[in-house]
Amino acid sequence: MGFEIKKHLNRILLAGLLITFFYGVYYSYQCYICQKQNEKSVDMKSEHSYEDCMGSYSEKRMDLITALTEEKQREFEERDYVKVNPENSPEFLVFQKYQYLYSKADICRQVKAYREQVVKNAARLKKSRDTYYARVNKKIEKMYSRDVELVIHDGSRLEDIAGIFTVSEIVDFVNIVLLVIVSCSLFLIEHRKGTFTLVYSSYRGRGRTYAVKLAVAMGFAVLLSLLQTVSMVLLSFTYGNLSEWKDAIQNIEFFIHSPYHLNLAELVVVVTVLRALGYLVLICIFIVISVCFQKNIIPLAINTLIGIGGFGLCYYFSGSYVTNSGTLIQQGSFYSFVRMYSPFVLIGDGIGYLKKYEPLNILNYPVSVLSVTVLVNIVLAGMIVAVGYPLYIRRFRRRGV
Amino acid sequence: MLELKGVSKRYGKKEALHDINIQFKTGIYGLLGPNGAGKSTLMNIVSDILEPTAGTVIYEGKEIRKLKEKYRKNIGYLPQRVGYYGDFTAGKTLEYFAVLRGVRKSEIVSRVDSVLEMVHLSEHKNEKVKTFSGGMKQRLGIAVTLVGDPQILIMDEPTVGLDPKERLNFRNLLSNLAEDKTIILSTHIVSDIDSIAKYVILIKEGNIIGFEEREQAAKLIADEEWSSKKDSITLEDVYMYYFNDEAE
Repeated sequence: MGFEIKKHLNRILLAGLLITFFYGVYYSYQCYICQKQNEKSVDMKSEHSYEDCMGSYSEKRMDLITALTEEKQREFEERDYVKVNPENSPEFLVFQKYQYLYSKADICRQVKAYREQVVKNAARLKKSRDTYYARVNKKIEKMYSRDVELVIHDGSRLEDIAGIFTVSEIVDFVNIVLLVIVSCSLFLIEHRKGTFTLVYSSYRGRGRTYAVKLAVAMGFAVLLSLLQTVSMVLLSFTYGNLSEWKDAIQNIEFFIHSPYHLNLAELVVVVTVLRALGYLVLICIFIVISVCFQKNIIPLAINTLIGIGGFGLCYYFSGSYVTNSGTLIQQGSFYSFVRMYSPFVLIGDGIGYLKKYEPLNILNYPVSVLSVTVLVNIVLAGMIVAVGYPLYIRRFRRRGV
Repeated sequence: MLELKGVSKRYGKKEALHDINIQFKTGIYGLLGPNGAGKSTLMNIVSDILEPTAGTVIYEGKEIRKLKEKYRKNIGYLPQRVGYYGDFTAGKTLEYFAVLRGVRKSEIVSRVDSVLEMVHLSEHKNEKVKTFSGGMKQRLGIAVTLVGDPQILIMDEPTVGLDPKERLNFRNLLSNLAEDKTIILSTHIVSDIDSIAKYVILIKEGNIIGFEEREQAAKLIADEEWSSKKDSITLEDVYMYYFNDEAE
């Protein structure tokens, strides 16, 4: 395996990895800068009630935060209303701090209310005569009745990281290009260098060489995903309280309806794994295209079309951008279909699978879209690898060397 | 023992090899023929790169397509045109092919040093292959063929690019190896075969037209005009007799 890696380590690859790393760090840096600005903007040490507002969510704490926020708003409006730049006044900055806590407390309140309502409905609906419907609601009741630790604090790590994961298109794009380059290089280097017959006539020159190249390709795909995640979360370790890594994901608005009991650290792991799976499937597709050719240029072109084109199409249909008129394109049924079977969505929008519970009726059993997607992509990767092997072994036997 | 039974190879309408029947035992077999005679096709089939359209290749009583990697473990093939990974050193190249050829991990270093010594490239072990001259690359190719210590050596035009001194070294090397190995050598340079081959095989337009011990090569010319000269007929004469048209 070391030989395969050494064959392909070149400046282009290293440059691509550096771009991925630095772009990921750039996202992380933007959050770091915001955090530092917030910390410097106002000293809350003199606010004695501020610390009391932070902790586990409760209605008492909610009431305290509401009261304090209203008080600070009144103070600001009474004293600074007529000033030219009220936004920079200490009163306004203090008010903003409490307002932020209030928004967080409000999310906790919404989560609590939502879960209670869902459990109440599910308890009633699970008695339905429709087998599938009953099963769905039984599952919903079970998922949402589990306690979720809702906490209020002024840290933003969870929001920052979830936000970074939803806007990582440029890094995803660079990584897909790297996957194209690596797959073509790995499986066409023998033809490029003229070592095909030497390798092919060797004891380990067929099945094992294919397996080693495949392992290197897959390892690279996983490494890319890890590198992307590490670069994106790197600077977040330099601010805030490290205990925020244990915050349940339901503490931010994006995950209000999520049934998954994950904390921030687990969220990062899950998104990384989903992205790695997407990269794995893609590189397998690129490999199968590459083994059908002897020259670099055609598979490079085809794989680039598949990789960039597919990613672009999914990005377009996801509605993750705003049109010129300012309206958001709604996700349609095509995107719903694509989400289940396409590796591109695992790469670009893995976090979206954790947003809510989306069951599918599979033989009267509720199976989540996430489970179906993961299973379909694993099977797809396996099938592609299986198809690639005989192509790799037999490719030139009939055509001659 | 290696045997070809009824081996034919067709590319579309063109028949590159026609009904080849031949046995190879230990010793050096020189394959002589003009361009397009089918030498490289024959070598590719014997080294399991190509599948014959008809017939079988048998090694130690078993078909090689059933033996698969077990057969390939016993062969070392040096094709006519060979490339390298330019950024690898000579030592690294041989290590890589030693692994591919199934050499045990504990033996790789000693094996690499040994074959580098055989081809007089020991002092260039840590130099990158892209800095090598054509002759050095050819010697490295020979080393790659030998690194797995195969029973069967298949070499297509192995002396191309070698200077006379290295050509002589190469012949001596093969002569030593031929005592317990089967070596199939394809070349245009008749003198390479003349001095070391035990058997000579003449191939023309996909057909074996002659197979004789080198010392009895004169028997290949069954022409009354030549009968008076039979004691002085050289292999060169035999080559010119059969392939003069192609040479012209």
